[in-house]
Amino acid sequence: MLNAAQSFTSVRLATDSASGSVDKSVQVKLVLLGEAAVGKSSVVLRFVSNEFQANKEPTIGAAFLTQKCRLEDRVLRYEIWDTAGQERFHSLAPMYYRNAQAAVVVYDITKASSLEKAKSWVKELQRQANPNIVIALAGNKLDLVQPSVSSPGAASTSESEDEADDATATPGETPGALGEPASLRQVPREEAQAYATEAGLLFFETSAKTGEGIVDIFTEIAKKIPIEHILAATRGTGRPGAAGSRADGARQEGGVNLEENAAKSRDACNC
Amino acid sequence: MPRADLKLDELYEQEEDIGEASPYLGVVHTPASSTTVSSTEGSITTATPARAGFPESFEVPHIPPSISRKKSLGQLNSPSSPSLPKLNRPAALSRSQTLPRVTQLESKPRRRQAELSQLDANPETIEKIRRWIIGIAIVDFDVDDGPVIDGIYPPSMVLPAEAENLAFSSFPDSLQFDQGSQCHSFRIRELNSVHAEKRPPTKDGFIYGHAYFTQRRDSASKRGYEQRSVVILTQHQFPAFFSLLISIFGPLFQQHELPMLESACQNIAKWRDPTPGEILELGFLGSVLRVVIPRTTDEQQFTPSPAAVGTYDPKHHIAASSSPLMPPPMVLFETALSQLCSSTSTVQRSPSVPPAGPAPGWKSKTHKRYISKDRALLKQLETALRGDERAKLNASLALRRHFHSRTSEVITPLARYLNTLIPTPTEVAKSSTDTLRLKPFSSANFFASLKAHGSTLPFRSTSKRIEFYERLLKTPSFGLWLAQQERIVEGVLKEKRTV
Repeated sequence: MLNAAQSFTSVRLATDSASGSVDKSVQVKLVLLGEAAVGKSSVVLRFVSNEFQANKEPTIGAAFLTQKCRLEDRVLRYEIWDTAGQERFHSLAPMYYRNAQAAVVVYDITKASSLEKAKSWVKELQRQANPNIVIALAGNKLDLVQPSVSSPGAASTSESEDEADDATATPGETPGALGEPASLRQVPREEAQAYATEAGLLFFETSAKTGEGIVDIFTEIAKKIPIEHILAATRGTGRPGAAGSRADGARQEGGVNLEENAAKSRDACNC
Repeated sequence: MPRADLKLDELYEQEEDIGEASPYLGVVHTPASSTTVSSTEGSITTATPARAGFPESFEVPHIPPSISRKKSLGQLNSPSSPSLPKLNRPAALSRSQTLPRVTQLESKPRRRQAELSQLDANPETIEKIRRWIIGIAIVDFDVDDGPVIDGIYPPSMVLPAEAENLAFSSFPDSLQFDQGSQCHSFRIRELNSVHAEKRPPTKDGFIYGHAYFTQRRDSASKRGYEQRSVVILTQHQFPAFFSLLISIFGPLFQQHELPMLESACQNIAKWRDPTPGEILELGFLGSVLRVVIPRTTDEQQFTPSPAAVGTYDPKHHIAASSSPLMPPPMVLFETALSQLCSSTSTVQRSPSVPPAGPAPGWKSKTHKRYISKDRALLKQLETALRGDERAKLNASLALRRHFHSRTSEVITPLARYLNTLIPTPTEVAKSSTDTLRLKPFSSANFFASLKAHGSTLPFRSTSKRIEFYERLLKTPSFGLWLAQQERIVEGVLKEKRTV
């Protein structure tokens, strides 16, 4: 399916010296999807700036952020599209996952319905996105179901308070000193894990607030991304999924080349 | 030097002939008197005095109204001719006598403006959006009123006459289709500068519009069609960049309406400043655009080197102020190419003007060719016309490189001579701040310099070379260029002085 123009541009990443600092790294388009107020923007903010904001305003449309990562001898540059969870922006999603090599679908472990929404996003991605897209499922707000060890006095203001105007704030209140924080959990880890395995997704439970599990998502995605395939296809004009069958096979086997490298040392993203 | 006065009077009258009834008549005349030579000037109102010893042969450049700049910006305020009139357009420019007049935009709140006012009006966000654009306007065809602006976001003040002009310009002149879409761009003159809180100031007195027009059948409409344009209005002269932007945004807006408008504006709000000379990476509606902002509006922007042409992607590496490369510009004069290539043709153009648009068979008796044709390039263009899109793009890039190098080559002898007019450090030390400036341009000395150093342009003969520069020195472009060089040199000298 590659036409002349596409094959022309295919070597740009490696050879074009005019495009500045970005050309040495592999560009990976990554999209975040999920219900409103599950903490998508907080996950990205933790990954990109290692920060957490308690009261983040809802995203409009989609925010664009980048983060460079090193994985072994590779440099990846994530071009992250953090989409709005609000219903009125849902029809815009295809524009953000089009040509994406990776997706992080986020749900809130304290809200069962958010996993259902996540499943519908996964379904849509598997049907309509690039055939070789790497999808990770992230169950966020892990901090809410863990006994707060750090500062018992500080009320755990979860990111669930963000986007309160969507009326999706976490049910229940902040765990008291003797409370049963685990009772807030509505999605058992095993259930989500089983679904992820069945659907062929990477799976993590995360807390954007504490940072737990965040870097791991992006590291594992980096390992699973068929980088050779991205290099062979082209960012931009090309549709990396267009010549997907071969890479698709690689994906089934767990991203062979990269897995070999990754097996030696579990090197985290350098970020 | 009474001659200068005389010429300016002529100039003024000439402008009046084409309808420049300036309300600032007094302003035009008052500074005109300062062209008379005086060594004691230093008045605050007149920007820079003219000086003695101005060469007789040099003509005060005629500045067409289209390139007159805003006084407030001080741009191109020629130190040698400070009295050039600051032309102002008549306060009302009515587009058409056949269209009903748009009286007051505010007086007729449109459906969409109400919807748009529901959108994010956080002043911080709006301020950020305004670094890049004035706003995105929706223009509909109203059966009673003709084209009307239905709303602008972020909210921007538009004077009624500007609104009429904008609405009119947002629709194509003629349609090539029954149902479909097309992009075009235009610019309109800003009538009065508006308070910066109400809309961002223009850079050069113009508002640039990039429109995406759609026409589709609509049985609900009295006309049987829905006709609508969505227009990016901006203060920046970045045609390649904004043409691409509207080509991405237009179709998406047609499909998704307001959420798309919001999303686009939120992306723009997050962009870094359009700082001159910067290479920016901009996320826009799922795409990443890499844009090079020109250092100045006159800069001839980067075109990929021949080695990089094969991999150059105009969708993702955008020289903001260049002309759009999609579709490849060379197709514009496809029909004229046979004329250009034929050895018997008399067609020739000034090297700095791209030969866009001459009609088939177009010939000129008045254009004399001074330089030899680049036959290799013409051959490449001819071949590319029969090739694919990539070939056409590459040929277009080659054409741009050609004009770029020809332009530089034209300027080189002038720049070489001008360098000799910069005061030496000793002269700088001796002179007072008021008189620090480029020494007068002497045509005779320039030609002597030209004779001594020659030119890299392939002139057909030495006499052609002289003829060419004689003609060039008489053009308004040269006058503007010289004025700009003077201003730059003066700025540098003053800076050195104060340091």
